[in-house]
Amino acid sequence: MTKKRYYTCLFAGEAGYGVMSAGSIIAKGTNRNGLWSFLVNEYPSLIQGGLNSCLVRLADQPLSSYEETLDFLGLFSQQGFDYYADKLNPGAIVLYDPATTQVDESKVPEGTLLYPVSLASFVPKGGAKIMINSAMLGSFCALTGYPKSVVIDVIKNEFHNAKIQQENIKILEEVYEHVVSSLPSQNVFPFTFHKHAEPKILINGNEAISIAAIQAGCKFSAGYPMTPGSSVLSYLADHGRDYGLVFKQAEDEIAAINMLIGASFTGVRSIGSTSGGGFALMVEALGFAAIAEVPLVIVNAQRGGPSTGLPTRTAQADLNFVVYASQGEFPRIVLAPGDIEECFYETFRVFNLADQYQVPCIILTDKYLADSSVSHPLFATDHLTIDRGKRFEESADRQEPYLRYQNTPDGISTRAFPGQVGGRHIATSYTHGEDGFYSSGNKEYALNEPTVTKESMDKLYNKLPAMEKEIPAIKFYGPSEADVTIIAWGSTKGAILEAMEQAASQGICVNFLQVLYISPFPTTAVEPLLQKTKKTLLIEGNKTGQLGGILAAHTGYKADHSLFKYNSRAFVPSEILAKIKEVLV
Amino acid sequence: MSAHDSNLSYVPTWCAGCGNYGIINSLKKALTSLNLDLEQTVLATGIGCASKISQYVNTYRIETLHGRSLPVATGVKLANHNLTVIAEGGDGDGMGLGMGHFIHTARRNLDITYFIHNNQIYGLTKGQTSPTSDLGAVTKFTPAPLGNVEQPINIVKMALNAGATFVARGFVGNSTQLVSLMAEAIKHPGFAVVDILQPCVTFNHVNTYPWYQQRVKVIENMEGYDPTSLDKALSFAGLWGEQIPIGLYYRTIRPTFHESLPQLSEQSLMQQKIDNVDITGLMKGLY
Repeated sequence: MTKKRYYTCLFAGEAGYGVMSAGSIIAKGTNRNGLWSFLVNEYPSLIQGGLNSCLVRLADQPLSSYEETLDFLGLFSQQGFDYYADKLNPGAIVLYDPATTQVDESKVPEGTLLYPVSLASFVPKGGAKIMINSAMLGSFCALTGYPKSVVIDVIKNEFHNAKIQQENIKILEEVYEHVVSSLPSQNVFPFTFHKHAEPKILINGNEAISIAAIQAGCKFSAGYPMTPGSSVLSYLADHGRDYGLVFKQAEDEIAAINMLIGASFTGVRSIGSTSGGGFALMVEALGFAAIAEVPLVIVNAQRGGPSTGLPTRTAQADLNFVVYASQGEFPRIVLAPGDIEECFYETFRVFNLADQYQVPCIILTDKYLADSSVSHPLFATDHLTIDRGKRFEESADRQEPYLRYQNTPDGISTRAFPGQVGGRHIATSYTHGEDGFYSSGNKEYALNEPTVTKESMDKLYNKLPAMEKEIPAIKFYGPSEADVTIIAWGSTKGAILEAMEQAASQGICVNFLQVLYISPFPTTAVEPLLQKTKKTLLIEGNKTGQLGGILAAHTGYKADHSLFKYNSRAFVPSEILAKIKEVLV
Repeated sequence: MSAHDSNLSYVPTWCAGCGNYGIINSLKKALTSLNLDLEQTVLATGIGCASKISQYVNTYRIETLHGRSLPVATGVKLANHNLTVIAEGGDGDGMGLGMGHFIHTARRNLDITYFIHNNQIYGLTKGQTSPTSDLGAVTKFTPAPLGNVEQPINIVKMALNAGATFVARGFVGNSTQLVSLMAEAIKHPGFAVVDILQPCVTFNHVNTYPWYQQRVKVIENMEGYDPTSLDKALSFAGLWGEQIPIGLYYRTIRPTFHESLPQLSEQSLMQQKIDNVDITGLMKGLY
């Protein structure tokens, strides 16, 4: 395999100029022509102004991470220059509009091309402000050699209004000619574009989860908007209809999760999505779902916390919260996908697991994974099969009363759905016996309360051995033995894998234990791997090393080194590689 | 299904003389009078003395969290709108924690019937103020001499203002009327609310059977009665004290929530096949 080549461009400016749109057009154009894109948006929690940025990293091979070293910086505002000037690669191009931005040569690396274009002057009088981004794209193509035709194809595809389409293309062409005519020679973009390449999708984590839910036969969703979890809900509201799915915006997250419980109790696969604050409101009902054994799938796309925290920035600090959230005790499944592949396939799996084990399931992502778009081959779905777990079967000659919560060796009993003949029962939030009846305060049950209470708790936990056996909870990357073993979870995966590639090319041997399902904790799978490590490095996007704590609680193992990042931005490969080298010194 | 079928072997734990006995009998009679298929009926309750009613009737039942019967009932109804869905609970459950859900369920006009057992006190937690407790009510949390200083919530007024399409008030001491109101409410296509006045014989020594008997007036016999007029209904709803109207305050028809969703026009969510989903189109949208 030839050495992977990267090209990173970043567009920055106030909200309202189409910063995201410019980046998205480049990412799509690249993705559609046989190359690979990785797009990261950063934006503050506001509607106008502020500093929005859209970073698009391009490569001629699959990408797993971003890196903030820029080859092209397209500026719509002064703030963009001030924030990104020190992140330029040698030989980078900076495009700016002198009307809005003053560039300081002393702040950029030597050899940087600082190129002014009066972007706003190309927008016709009375034209929408956002059309400036077509001027930006025209200049981008001219300065970098990125094929103009690729951008125009995407614009044609994205803008369905013919007039808007033509206006934008006209601006793009004019700026392009203006800039090209000033250059001594035509620039050549470092990648070859393939017009008839195998189609790929450009997809973010929330979209992958949403599509997986639809594939899994989820027909109901309820939620309340909370960044960065909302886009699962809006995707399902928009596209779910074609698949017969109903999305209900609730008055709050408490209502949302209780609606999901109602729908799931009735037999319909259901999903909710929120962030930490909304998940906090859902916690009481999470326990309700657990004791009533109603399957449930909830996405928590983490953002900075505590409290309102950082609405639009990433963090990995809700792990302890989702693993332990509840009064009382109950088993749950916590999935922490690390990439798009896992967002799709593991979400599909989690719907099956929820039905099979009749437990609440939490999909724990974060803003970076939920919101960053990545080129990915089409999902293969032929091998995916739906398993709804143990179901109550209607029967004409059924004699014995139906026990919804019948004690069984594996703790799992059959589910009857309202409408089924002979399956009537009570599902309750109280601790209850096999027939679902509340065990205390009633003459028939009072004497048996200690027995029923213990049995009902044992029933929940009798599910654990099978869960631990069936769930593919860990993944292992790299050679079986290495100088450094990284232990991590969730979206840090991409940066870790790229850092490992770079380490290998420099002769450093690293492997990586990814904990994909954190609850139930895969103690049996993890322990033998830990025994074969030389030096371990725990990497997490939080202050206290939450996976490290859970790992220690289950295995007694404490990682040798740690790298915790909690500055509101996701890990990049270079900082992980630097830490690996530090550990080996 | 007969009324007999709706009796379980469990003996209710309510106090002797509790209004809940009258309400459960009325509910069973209402279900019987409608000849409802109990296999196709779901009762969702909250938590509290009133909500225990789900332990003693023989439909499909879900005894939810305190205050959350309505969102759970909403999920049930949207998952399978062919089911008859009833939510039930007390005044504390519904007007305290559940108030937000109450208002939103009403404005959405979900086809759910909501019976509120209103005894103006918290019973199961042993005698605290309820959102419907009268001014001056002396309770564990609002001791004498001050008593309750908060304006009570008038459930009928609240339901009318929030957009419920069937609003009634019953009294457990008038079981003939109560059975009929409950049956009509279940039959009503839309969000139907019945505020059911009941004494708490253990913790509320003011709003007793005689207290209600002296005040309740059958609304049909009152001057100016017109259940098709929201204004009239609101004006009757303003009466509380010397006269408390009982009966149907208001009834109107507007599209229910599930009827407004094209996804549900042909079959319920529950009836959809899920093993043949093709996401090719969704992936094409992401090229």
